[in-house]
Amino acid sequence: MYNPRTTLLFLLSAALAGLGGLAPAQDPAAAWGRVRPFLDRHCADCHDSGRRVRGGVDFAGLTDLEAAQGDPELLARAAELVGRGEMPPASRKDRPEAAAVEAFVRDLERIAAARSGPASPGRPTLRRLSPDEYARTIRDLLGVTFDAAERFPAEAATGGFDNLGDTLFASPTLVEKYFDATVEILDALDADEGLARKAYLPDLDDAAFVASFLRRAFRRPPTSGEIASRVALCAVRPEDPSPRAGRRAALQSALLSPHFLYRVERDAPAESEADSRPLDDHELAVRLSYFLTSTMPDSRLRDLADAGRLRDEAVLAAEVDRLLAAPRSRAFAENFAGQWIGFREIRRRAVDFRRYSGFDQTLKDLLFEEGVRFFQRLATEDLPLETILDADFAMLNERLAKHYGIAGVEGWPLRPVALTDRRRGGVLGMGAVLTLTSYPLRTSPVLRGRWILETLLDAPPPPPPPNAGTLPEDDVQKDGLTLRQRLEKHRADPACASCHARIDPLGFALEGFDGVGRAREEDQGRPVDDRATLPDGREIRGPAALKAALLERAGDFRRAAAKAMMTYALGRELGLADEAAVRDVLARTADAGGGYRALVRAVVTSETFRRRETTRPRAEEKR
Amino acid sequence: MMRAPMDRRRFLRAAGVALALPRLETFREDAAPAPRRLAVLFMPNGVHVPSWTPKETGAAYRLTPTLEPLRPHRDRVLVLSGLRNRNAFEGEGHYVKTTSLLSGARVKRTGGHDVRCGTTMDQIAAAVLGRDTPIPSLELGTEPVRNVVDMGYSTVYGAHVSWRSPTLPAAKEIRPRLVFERLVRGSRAGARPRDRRVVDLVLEEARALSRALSGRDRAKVDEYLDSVHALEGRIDDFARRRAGDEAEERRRLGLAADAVLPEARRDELDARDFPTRTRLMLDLVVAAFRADLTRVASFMFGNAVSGLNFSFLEGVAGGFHELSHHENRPEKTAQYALINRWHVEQLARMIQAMKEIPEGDSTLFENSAILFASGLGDGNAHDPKSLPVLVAGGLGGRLASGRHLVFGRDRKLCGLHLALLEALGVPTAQLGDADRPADGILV
Repeated sequence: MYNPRTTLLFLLSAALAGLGGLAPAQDPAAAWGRVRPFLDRHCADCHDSGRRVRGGVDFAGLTDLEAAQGDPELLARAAELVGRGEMPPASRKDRPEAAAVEAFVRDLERIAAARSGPASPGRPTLRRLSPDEYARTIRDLLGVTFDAAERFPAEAATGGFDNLGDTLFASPTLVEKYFDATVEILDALDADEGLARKAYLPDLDDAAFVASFLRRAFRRPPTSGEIASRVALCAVRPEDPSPRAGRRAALQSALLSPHFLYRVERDAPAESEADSRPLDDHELAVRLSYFLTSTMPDSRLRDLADAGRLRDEAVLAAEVDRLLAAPRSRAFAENFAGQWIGFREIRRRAVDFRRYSGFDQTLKDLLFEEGVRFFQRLATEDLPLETILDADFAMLNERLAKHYGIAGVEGWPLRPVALTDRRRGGVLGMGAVLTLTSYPLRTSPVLRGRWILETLLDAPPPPPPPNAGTLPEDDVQKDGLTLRQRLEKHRADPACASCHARIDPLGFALEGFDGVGRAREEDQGRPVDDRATLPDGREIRGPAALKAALLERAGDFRRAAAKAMMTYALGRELGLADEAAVRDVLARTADAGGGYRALVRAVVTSETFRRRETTRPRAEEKR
Repeated sequence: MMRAPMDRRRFLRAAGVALALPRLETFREDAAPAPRRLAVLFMPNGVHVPSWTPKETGAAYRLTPTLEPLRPHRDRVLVLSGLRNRNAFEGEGHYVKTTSLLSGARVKRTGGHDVRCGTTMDQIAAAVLGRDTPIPSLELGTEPVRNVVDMGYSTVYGAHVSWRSPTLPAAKEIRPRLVFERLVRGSRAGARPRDRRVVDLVLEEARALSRALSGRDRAKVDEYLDSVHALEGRIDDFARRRAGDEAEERRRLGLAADAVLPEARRDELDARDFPTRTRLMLDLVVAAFRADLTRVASFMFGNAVSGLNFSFLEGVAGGFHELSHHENRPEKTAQYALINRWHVEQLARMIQAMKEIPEGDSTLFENSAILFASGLGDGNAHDPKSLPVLVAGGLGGRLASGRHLVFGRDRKLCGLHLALLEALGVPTAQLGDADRPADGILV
């Protein structure tokens, strides 16, 4: 049942060092020097074939660093179970302290990251086009605008993104809707003679028409069988003799085919011995195109793939630049940054209209637009990744500036506005983020703190113990404690303190922003208290100081950014086995100047992006 | 002309998918007993226990403030206390307890890769009851799947109370307009002569692709393949329907549309506000049951951890989840209880609507069971030990309603599910931690 790719989450949830906390060496040998004694002390009684082996977990073979690196799945499993607190079992007297658990998991991570030899590129589960990708692809393929978000059920999202194959499920309802969608799309096509001529290609014979369409719809050269079966559909039939009916059926069958609806990457032939293979040019074009434009490859990518040139790293990198410079890379800002940072959700967010009068749909749309334009600018200007944490500009128009209390911005178009006030600038000053991390009627330092840890530092706090949520009884009083005071009391309980000491201060520093991101001096009649004590004892106050503290952990932030982008690009969650690839991407990003576009380029040119695992994952065979 | 009494099922199959016929009296009810229906209403975030749980047990129970809206239906409601879902105790506070509520299955902890729980009781029922209706089951809700991994669990879990298989949550529809269209119009599949050939070609390609892939990729294609098979069935229905009298068909279709939702309410279908959408969804369930378009439905008032703002209620200012963590502060528990009570009001309204639909000598309500439940007891503590559960209806006289039943030693929630399945005509040997129906549910 164990799966290495799901583990990193758990692993990191336990692996959090507080702000300004541990900064240990990256030396894997030193890490191993700490891990082995931990295993001997806490695990070997039950998991060593010299004594006994419970649950099939045996650490006896991990005799040295090399052996440990040779079994990343075992390391990942140890990290997951120990990190989650499930092992050693609660019944053992001598259980490791929380700090020791954290150090152990971090060490395992270091060992995995330093593993030599080629990393496995992994194997994303077959991906169906998300509704948004479907709509954009239909537009490019036929010129028809189709509102997929309105027609298809909302997709489940995994790892923060809606384009991961694992949670894109098919159901009879969905397939019915796919069918109805094709009817609607083709009706729209038939109603527009200009579009119809381009799609039906009346000057070509059936075979050429089918081949031309399939090449685009299937995003690769079609097989002769795929063409022949559709040529047969094209034949005039007595029961429906209208001239276009046949070709329409051929188009429809392509739009319903799994080769259109899914992004198929074929398995290697069974006789193949290699663990992984390079993607072919067309598969690579598809990955690249959906990554940066959320749609099918354009004609240039198709031509490059046909010519077999896309596998050339320099060509690939140039295509990244070309796509990011084009207007349709807006999809990348909307779908990647929009889901990673979360601002894509703001348009659907309901806030309390009585408490926050004036927070209307237009403002929500603008808050979304602010995020999109900010990340588009990062890409086109190749601004440093840290700009996401702290920028000296914001993308504003008059309405947004007014919302933020910034003077001197007039008119409707959004534009980069230089900021003098360091409280704004970067995602922590964005109204979308501040709203999405609040409750309908009030701010939540806990939600905001947790969002920073999860999203910006890739260090989600572990889940609260089963009884959390019940604040201590003595907290129930009518003396009018502020939210902050009650949280502080909550933290006096040692069971809560270990996590909330990390979470809450980050949110406290943002208390100067209300539940929709406006600056405020008072909270329900009391002056806002935005002082915070970081876990290392340092006192900070307000968002500028918070950003400065976060910038001290820029390494963690860059890692979080890289992992989020790789998750989105690959369409799968990352695991311990991907640590080496993440490290490599970060190193190449730094070499190329450390900008946002440099990161995109490093992701696309990574082995992980350009290859695919061919063997079945071991975990799957165990099952 | 003599007309032989027509078997209702055969008629419906012949009439095809989109015919939302109300149960017209032309059908001799003695030819086939009225079908039994199951609706599951899921409420997130638990209840304020003191306001929910009746003090008295047995038939003499008195309605509590939260249950008060059920006064007109008290005698047809079975309130259940003490039930628990053992396999959902651990994990975290909400998602696990939501997604396994109807299966009692263990939930695999994952951020989304390889989600796994169990086939739920409504889907077990639908697999059998759905054979006789155009739509096997409805899965409805109000909130989209949020895109986060929370506490190590994919939010897929918290957004699904129905699972078609242990690895496949049943996608739910959250827009009333789309539900309406699905009920009234059915799919367009089959309208064109070549549709069948198109679908056959797609099936063939999907099969070939499935053979060429392995592991999870193949499982994904197989999911698709199964769903296209279902579409094939609807095309066949459509073909049979076309064979019928077209004028007669149009007349019935008009009738059907009215049966599903009165003309006057159809302009509400795109309503964005939560209370209206909730009422519409429940109305659509009732209409679908009435027209026998389906016999199984589940509805999620909200997803697990729903933070939906209930300020539209007098006396409430805030989100559901936030208020569920009431810390025993009276001003919060009062609001929490009001929110719970609003949910019960919606149930009462649904019961009333179903009571007003005659079926032979009985009513739609008496032939149905509505299971109303949350995955938590006290939301403040994420308490899984005693769940707020009630069942309303009659199930054709099988349901021992009109009582407050308190479970002591043998308190398996899945025992309730097994009892309901038995009365629905889908006896099932085992579900979750239970291997026999709970005592006291059925007569």
